Amino acid sequence: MLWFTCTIAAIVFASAIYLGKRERVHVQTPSHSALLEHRKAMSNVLLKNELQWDEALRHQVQEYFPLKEITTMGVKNVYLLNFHKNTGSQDEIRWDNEFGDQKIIIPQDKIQSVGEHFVTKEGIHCYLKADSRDVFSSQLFVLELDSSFLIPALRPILEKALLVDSKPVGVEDVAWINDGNQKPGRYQEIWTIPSHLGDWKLGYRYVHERRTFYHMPTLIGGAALSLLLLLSGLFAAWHLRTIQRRAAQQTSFVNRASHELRTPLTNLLLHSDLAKDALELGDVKNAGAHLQSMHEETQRLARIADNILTFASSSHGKAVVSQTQPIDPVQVLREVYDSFQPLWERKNITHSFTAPSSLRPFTAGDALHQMVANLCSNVEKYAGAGSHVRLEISERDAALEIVVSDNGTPISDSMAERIFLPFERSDNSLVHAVSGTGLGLAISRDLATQCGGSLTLRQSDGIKSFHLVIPYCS
Amino acid sequence: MKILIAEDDALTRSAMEKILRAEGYDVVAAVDGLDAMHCFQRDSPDLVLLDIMMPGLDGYAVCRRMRAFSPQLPVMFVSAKSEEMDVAHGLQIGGDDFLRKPFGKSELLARVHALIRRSGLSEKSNTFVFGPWLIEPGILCAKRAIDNEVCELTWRELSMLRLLHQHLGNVVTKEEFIHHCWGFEYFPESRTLDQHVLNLRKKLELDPAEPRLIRTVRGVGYVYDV
Repeated sequence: MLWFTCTIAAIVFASAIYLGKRERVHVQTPSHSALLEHRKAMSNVLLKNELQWDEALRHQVQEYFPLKEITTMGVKNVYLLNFHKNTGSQDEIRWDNEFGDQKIIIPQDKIQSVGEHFVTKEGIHCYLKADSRDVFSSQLFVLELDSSFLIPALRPILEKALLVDSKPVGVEDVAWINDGNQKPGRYQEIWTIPSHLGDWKLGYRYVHERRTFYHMPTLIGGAALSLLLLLSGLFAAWHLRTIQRRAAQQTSFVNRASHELRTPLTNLLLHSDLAKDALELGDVKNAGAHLQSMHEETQRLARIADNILTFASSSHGKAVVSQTQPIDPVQVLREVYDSFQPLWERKNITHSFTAPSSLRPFTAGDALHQMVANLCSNVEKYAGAGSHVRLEISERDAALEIVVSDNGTPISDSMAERIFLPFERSDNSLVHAVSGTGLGLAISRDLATQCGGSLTLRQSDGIKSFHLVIPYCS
Repeated sequence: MKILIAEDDALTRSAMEKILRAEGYDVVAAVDGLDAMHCFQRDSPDLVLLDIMMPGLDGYAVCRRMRAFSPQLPVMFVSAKSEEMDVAHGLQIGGDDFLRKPFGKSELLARVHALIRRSGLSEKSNTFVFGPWLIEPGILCAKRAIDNEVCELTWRELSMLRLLHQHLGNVVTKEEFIHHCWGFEYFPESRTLDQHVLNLRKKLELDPAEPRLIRTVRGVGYVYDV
C-alpha cells in the first residue's frame, strides 16, 4: 500500500518536473556603440585586405588561401575549415584554372578547429570562423564570402570539401543560432563592402544560450499533489495497519476463545457419554460423578463466556460493572472457592481460605465474582502440581482487600505489568503450553479500575500474590 | 494392547482413560509431556494419544522424541488446536492422525480403532477364534470359516467376547463383565448386560434359544467353552 502510494507520488512529482521544465534562449545582443566600433574596425581591416586579397589572386601566389590575407586582418586566427580532411592530401587543395594547375597549401598548424559551413542553391557560402574575441569582446562575428567571389574551378573542390562534414560544430555553452536549420541570410548584416571580386560582408550572429528553468506553479502544484498523495498513503497505511492489527487480535482472540471452549466441550461430551453408560447400568454413583464433572465444565464455559462478553463490551466502551443486590463479599468468595476446590485438587494444588465470618454488603457482586474467579482460574492453570494457593479477604480503610497468592511458577519482572494487557501472557514456557484466552487478568484489572479499585501483582520469597482492592463506595 | 494417553486436562484424561479401559485396552495416563516420555520408556505402549499443549514438553516435541525411538509407533494427536496449520504440522512431524476437540466417545473409539487397523496392530495381536468364528477387532466383525458368513459387532460386544475368550472355560461374573466392559460397578437390577448377551447369541449362536458358545451360569455369570 505504502509502496504503491510512494510510487504514484514519485510519478506525479516526476511528471510535474517534466511538464514544468522550460527552455529559454538567451540572446546576447551587442550594444549599438559596440556595433559601430566593430564596424569601423572591421571595415578598416577589410578595406586593407581587399587589396591584398586581389593581389593574391591576381598573382596566383601559392601561399595559403585565404588564410594569410585574413590572418592579416588583425584578427587573431582565422581558419578555413575541413579542407585538409577532404582533399587528396592533408594540407593542400588543387584546382585547374586559366592560370594552370594551382593549389592552396594550408599549414597544419593553422588548422585548429572546425567551424560552420553549408551549401545553398545560390552557391557556396563558406563561413570563416574568426576567433575575434580579443577584438570584438565576447561576440563572435562572421565574415561571409559571397559565392560570386569564388572562381568556378574552385567551387567543386570546395563543394566536395564542405559537403562532407556538414554538421555544424558548436562551441561549449554557446551555440550558433545558425545551427543548421537556419538560413544563412538570417544573420544580421552590418556592412557590405563592394569589391570587384565580390562583396565583403560584415555581419554578426547573436550568441545565445539555452537556459533551463522550471515553471514554478506547475512544480509547486506537483510537489503539493505528491505530498498530499504521500500523506494520504501514509495515513492509509497506518490505518490499514491498525485495522490489520485489530483484525489479527480479533482473529487471535476468536481462535483462543474457540480453543478455550473446545476442552470443556470435549469434557461435556465425554462425561455425558459416560454418565449415560453409567445410568444404563444403574450406577448412580458414577453417573453422579460424571454429572458433577459436567457441572464444573459448564461453570468453566460460563466463565469463558463471561470474559468474552466483558471484553467485547469493554472494547466498545460500554460499562461492564453492573450493580446487583447488596451481597456479603465473603459469600461471593466462598462460592468461588468452593467451585475451584475440585479443580485445584485434581491438579494436586492445596488450598486455604481465610475470611471473617461476614463483611459489609457489597453491590458489585457479579464483578467481584468474575475477578476472583479469573484469579483462581489462573492459579489452576499456571501454579502447577504441588503448589499451595491462599485466598484471603479482609476489610481495610473502607475497602475490600482480596489476596490470591500461590507459591507456583513465578512471573518474570519484565512480564509483571504486561500480563495485565489483553492477549499478553507470561513468557514462561510452561504458560505457553497451557491454553488460555489471555484476557482474564486484563478483564479483572479493568473491572477493578471501573470499581474505583486496583489489581496489582506482588512477588516476594517465592510467593506471587494478586492484590485486589475495591472501595466500598464503588 | 497398551495405549498411552498424554493429556494435561484431568477431566479429559480421566474420561478417555475410562472409555478406553472399557474397550478392553490397557491404559497408561500421563499428565504432561515429560511424564509421557517417562511412561513411554517404562511401559512401551502400542499406541499413543497425545495432547499438544502440555506443560513441560509439548505434544509435538514428545512425538519427535518418541519417533526417534520407535518410528512405527502409531501416534494420534488429540488437541483443541484445530487450525489446518496445526493439523498439518502434527502430521508432518510424525503423527498418524489428528483428533480435534471437541469429540465424543464414539469418535474417539472409532479413531483409535481405525488407527489400530491401519497400523496393522489388530492383525498382529487382536484376532482370535471364538468357536466357529474368527473375530477381527480391527474391522469389527466375526467371520465363520465354514460358510464365510460375516456378522458385524459393536465395540461393546467385541469387548465382551474378548473377555469371555480370555476366560475360556471359566465363568465370567456379571460384576467382571460390567467392570471390564463398562467401567462401572455392577448393579443387580440392571438388565443391560443380559440384553447385550442376548444380542451376541442372536449373532453367533446357531440356535439362540439353545446357546452353546455363551452359556449362562445361573446367578453367577456366563461362560465360553468350546
